[in-house]
Amino acid sequence: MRKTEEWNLRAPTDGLTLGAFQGLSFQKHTYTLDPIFVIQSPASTQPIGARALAARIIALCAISVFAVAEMRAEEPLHLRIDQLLDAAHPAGQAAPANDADFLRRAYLSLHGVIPTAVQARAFFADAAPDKREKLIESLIASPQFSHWLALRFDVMLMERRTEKHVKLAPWREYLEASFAANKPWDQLVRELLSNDGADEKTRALARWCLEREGDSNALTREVGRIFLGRDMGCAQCHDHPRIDDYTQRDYAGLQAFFSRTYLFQPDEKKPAVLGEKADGETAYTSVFTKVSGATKPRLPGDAEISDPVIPPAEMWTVPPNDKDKNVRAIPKFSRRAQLVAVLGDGHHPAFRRNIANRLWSVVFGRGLVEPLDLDHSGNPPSNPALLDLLAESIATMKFDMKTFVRELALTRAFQRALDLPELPPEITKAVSERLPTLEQEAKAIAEAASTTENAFKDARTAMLEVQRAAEPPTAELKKQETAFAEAKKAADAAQAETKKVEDSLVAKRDVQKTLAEAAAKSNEAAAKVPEAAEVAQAAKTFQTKADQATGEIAALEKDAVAKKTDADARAQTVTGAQQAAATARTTVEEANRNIAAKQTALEAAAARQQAERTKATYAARLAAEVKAALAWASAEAADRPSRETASKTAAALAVAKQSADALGAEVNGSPAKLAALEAAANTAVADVAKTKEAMTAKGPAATTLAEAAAKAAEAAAKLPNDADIKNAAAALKTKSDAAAGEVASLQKTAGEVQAKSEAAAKSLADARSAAEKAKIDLAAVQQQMPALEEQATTARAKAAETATPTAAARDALAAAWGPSFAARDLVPLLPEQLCWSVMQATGVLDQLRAQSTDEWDKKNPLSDADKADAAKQAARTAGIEQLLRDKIRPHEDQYIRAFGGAPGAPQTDFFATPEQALYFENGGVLRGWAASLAGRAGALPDPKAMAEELYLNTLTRLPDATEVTTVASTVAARPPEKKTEALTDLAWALMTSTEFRFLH
Amino acid sequence: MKPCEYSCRTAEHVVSRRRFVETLAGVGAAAVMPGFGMFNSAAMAAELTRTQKRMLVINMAGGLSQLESWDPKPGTATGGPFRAIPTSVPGLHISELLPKTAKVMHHLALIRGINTHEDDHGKGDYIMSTGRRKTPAQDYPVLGAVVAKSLDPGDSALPGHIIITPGGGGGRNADSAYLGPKFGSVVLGNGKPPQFSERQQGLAEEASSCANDLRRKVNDHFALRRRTAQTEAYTQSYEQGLELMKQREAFDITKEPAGDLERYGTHDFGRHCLLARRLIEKGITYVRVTHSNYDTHCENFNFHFEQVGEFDGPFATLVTDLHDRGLLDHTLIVVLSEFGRTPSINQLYGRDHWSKAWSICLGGAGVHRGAVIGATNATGTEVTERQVDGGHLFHTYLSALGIKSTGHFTVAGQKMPIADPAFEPIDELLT
Repeated sequence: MRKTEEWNLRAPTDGLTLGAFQGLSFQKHTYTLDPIFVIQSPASTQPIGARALAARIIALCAISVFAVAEMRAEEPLHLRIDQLLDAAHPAGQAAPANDADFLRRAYLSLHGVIPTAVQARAFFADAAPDKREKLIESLIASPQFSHWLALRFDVMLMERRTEKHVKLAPWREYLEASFAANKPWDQLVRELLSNDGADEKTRALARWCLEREGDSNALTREVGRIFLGRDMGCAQCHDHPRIDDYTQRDYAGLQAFFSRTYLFQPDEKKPAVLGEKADGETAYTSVFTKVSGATKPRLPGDAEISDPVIPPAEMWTVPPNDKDKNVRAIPKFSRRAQLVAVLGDGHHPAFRRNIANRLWSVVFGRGLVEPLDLDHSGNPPSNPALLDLLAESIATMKFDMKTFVRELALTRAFQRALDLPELPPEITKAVSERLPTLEQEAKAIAEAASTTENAFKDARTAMLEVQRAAEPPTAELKKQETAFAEAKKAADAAQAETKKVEDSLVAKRDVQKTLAEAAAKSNEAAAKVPEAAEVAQAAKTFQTKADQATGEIAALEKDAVAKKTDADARAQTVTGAQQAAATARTTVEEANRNIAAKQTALEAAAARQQAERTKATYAARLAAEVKAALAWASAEAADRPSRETASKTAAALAVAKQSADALGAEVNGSPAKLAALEAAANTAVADVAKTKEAMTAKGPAATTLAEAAAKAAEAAAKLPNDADIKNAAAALKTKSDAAAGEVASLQKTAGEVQAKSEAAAKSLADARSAAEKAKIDLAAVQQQMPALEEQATTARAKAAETATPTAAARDALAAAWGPSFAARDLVPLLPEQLCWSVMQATGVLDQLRAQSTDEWDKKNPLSDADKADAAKQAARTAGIEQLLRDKIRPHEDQYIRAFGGAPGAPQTDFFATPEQALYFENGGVLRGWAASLAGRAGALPDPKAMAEELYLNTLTRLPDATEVTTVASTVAARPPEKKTEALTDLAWALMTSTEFRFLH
Repeated sequence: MKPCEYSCRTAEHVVSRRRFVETLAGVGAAAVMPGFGMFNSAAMAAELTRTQKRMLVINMAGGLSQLESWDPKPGTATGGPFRAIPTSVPGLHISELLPKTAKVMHHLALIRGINTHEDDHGKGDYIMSTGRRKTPAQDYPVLGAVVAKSLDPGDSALPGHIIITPGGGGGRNADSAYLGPKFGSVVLGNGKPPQFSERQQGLAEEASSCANDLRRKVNDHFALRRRTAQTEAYTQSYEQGLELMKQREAFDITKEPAGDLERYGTHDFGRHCLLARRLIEKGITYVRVTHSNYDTHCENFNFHFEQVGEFDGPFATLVTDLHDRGLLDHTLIVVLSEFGRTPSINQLYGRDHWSKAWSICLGGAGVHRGAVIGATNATGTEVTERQVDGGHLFHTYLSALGIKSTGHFTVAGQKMPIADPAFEPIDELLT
């Protein structure tokens, strides 16, 4: 199933198996494709709406809570990642982050620095629906991306070791160049492990091995940690006491690659290089069980790699030189080179998992496996199927890290909000109904895991037994072999003795023969020359010597027989010893076959245990996560009414207060108002009286005049020709008409003032009754007030009470969702991220860039023709960048000293010390830089604009209303000449806040 | 200037914050969350400070000669020119270079049979600092970190692991390995207070307090979105820093009575010993004073005459003062080096590195007064009785402080033995 093409997760026929980690049991079950189980992959990378997702999940819950994803190899990796994560979170996931959080996160994760306010404004204003994808593409295309990645890998590979053997500058250059060229990971690893540091030009590459002092145990542990994600340090002396997966045998196998490597530095004034011996085997003995073993080089789970058979005379390319200690011997066969081959070919599952997990942690701030160097079945990835997918994918991508990171950054998972969602009741209902089954399944799997665990323990015990059983025969064999060797030696010696005696016997016989002949001849001569006494004497001497020799021969013959008998007896013993040794050897071979068989069984049991344990941990985690989600949903649901009540009662209280205020004002204002109305009514009554008086005065005269005019008119009618009468009558008429008109006008006025007076009286009456009512109303409201106030206080207290468990439930769910990437986790910034971001926020980065540009251009002015030359422009950009980095470095170093881990220790561990705080409090630099931002903000016209400038530059977001008020009141609290100081305090506070310190 | 319009430091707030922290599970929260000011009674706090165990080390850097100090061999080929003098312990003699110390030996004890098998400065120091031999695969916390961690009162803003050196200084050292930076040593270069603990010049206290109030407000706002053990540790580190600034006087020996400096001596070592006394009195768990430099490859006798002479007075005064103040019963004092010096005298009248048979002096806490453990032969070339290694010493120090030296720290779920399990304490030296 390890081929990517086969990655089609489908529902099992029984429909109940935990689909989310089917990848693990893939080989054991037959799967059929049933479309009901399939989550369709979304057509675009746009986040699925919460409701739509809910609907899908409920559909799935109806059959199995564990959603099942179908994945097709041709789909982009980011979609497949999201499908797996969707399937692994039955209770849902956090919504997509808002633009501000997303922007800050994308910059910090892919460039290591926060965006500028200008970049933030542009991004917020951009209405394009695909602006997030476009941002990621452009961030990854920028040189800053490879610079950042080079730095991340420097920290990861070297863990800030100081420069003891290899200078930092060429090492950094090498990494920068490697990441700029997007060098594949396997190639990088090959280069790091194969370089011995002897070639000055490429010596920087040997930094990884040399700064670990070329020590075989240090290198073994570090290769395990950094390239395999397995810290097997404890397995140096015994199987890891807590982690069954890390065995001493595996450790020794890895160590065997390095056991011949050493640091070669005969002259302390000359640089150290790596040396390697041509021989040396790796054996180990457990300090716990005392059982011993031996191994050839071997990666965990792989076969041992045998050394080629090379005659001792041909072992060296450069042989050791006893006369010149400065000559470094170079063997023909290098075991370290074998590691480069087997690790660097990228075949090993742990090698793939490790780099996939580490790149994931670069993008997401934490790995699927945490700590990054403790990948084992007791600490499985938060999503095992996902890490499997990633490990296979990066191998398929030929370890192209840029492409891989791009896929990770394009996931919806990368965009998850920090804030937890309100879980819709339909989801909580469906999930809570399913929870008992989930827990049951988890329990069943845990039981199954415990069975395999017992089986593993039994297999380990059985292994130990056969290992122990093999010890006496092995000792016996050793004894027999020694006995045989000794007997052989003795027999050979006896044989030699026999031969020696026989040889001297032959020699002696020859001498005796010669002597006897000489004696015979001498005797003969003596007989012939009797007078020569000296001849007789000589003959006698010869005879004596010959006789003596004969005696010696007899003794030698006797000795020869004895020696021969002894030699024969000893030869007999040798044959016996040989037979005994052969018998012992057979027994040992049998025992070794037993061990091999048990080893195979043990490995199988270990594999089963590891698979089952991974499943069990995952199932338990899933159940716990669902529980946490339900706890959050119920706490949140319990909290919501009390929050609502609190806000309702607070609103009611506010309304009552408002109306009390209004009524109070009315009641207070009414005496004056009534007085005015009373005055108006009185005036109106007076007016009526006045009009009436005038009418009384004018009325009778007018009547009289009218009568006189009527009489005059009568008279004039009777005397039509009397002009005087006519005139008089006319005059009377005129007068009378005028008087009548006056009266009519008065009558009209009277009507009007009467009406007015009546209205005024009514107004007065109304006002009086309104005032009465207001008084009554006010009393009523005032009576209500204490009750309302109490309600509001109670509700507020209640809300505060329920807020605590809600926050606890929120934090608990966040703690479950963060590591499994259903919600964003908080990640502390690395020292460099913190330093660069402070410099970016305060504008110092821009200032330094401008300085660098000036410096470069002054030294390397470009002619107009040069400006058109792309290569020269590129050189200029790179040159300026280099100048800038050199200017940043001293600041980085300060941050590393304050916030970084110790050299050689893991660098992702978070710690907060008072020294860090005091560095920001009194170190001076941060406040100085904050003042620079404050100066820019202070130039803006109003507090709102100032607040926006501060927040956008530091926190990549706009301030809310309360925050604007805080800025305004902080500025207002100081005299005008201290405005910048107030803004500096604000800028300092923003940059020392948790929101700035943690990537979210 | 008006104060900021809010404050986040009400009692209620502090309590709720702490309660939250208590609910956070895991080592992280406990390790990073020391509170302070939790004692509601000053008398109770004072009593706890008085009886709390602590340790004072004087590091005779470079390698003190045992023959010119704790194990003199006068009148022998290796003995050198100095005599031995009797001490306040009947029958016990030490070098005549230590007349004042001789008078307080009844408070102290000697270990004369040390063999550390390591003649390299760095590696020897590592053995004496960690009780273990250096391996590339695993780094171990130094004694100060182990003691600070084991005796951590948990309520102090002051660092628990302090090193006073003639020069240098700076932030926190990375010598606490897996125990974490909290227990790393804070170096007081030439006895100066910790770096940046003094208010920045030109920064008004009001401005700082306003800025910190603003910082708390921004943090409280963010805590509504997410709160973790790490965010709490980070916000608390500022409160600790501010508290450290308030307690900066702890590092100021001018606050000691004027005559005391005269008694200790106005030279560096005298001032540093006085500072050490002050810090021990303030309840700091581990203080190490460096006296340098004893690496006398030439003119061993002249140098020791001067150096040991300078050491003798302040050291004897320190022992006496701690005894008079009732602190010696709770304070372990150790005078150590990375190794001793060769019995043989080289052509330059020097003595070279020597780890085969040398001595240390210790006393206080759970150490038998006046005891002498181990012995060397007449010329000091071999240990003849009760040979011990650095591992034994490490176990012994911890045991004398009431720390179970065979116990372990749990680091990320893994048990790390506090001291090398291959060794054990020197039981006969302990009360």
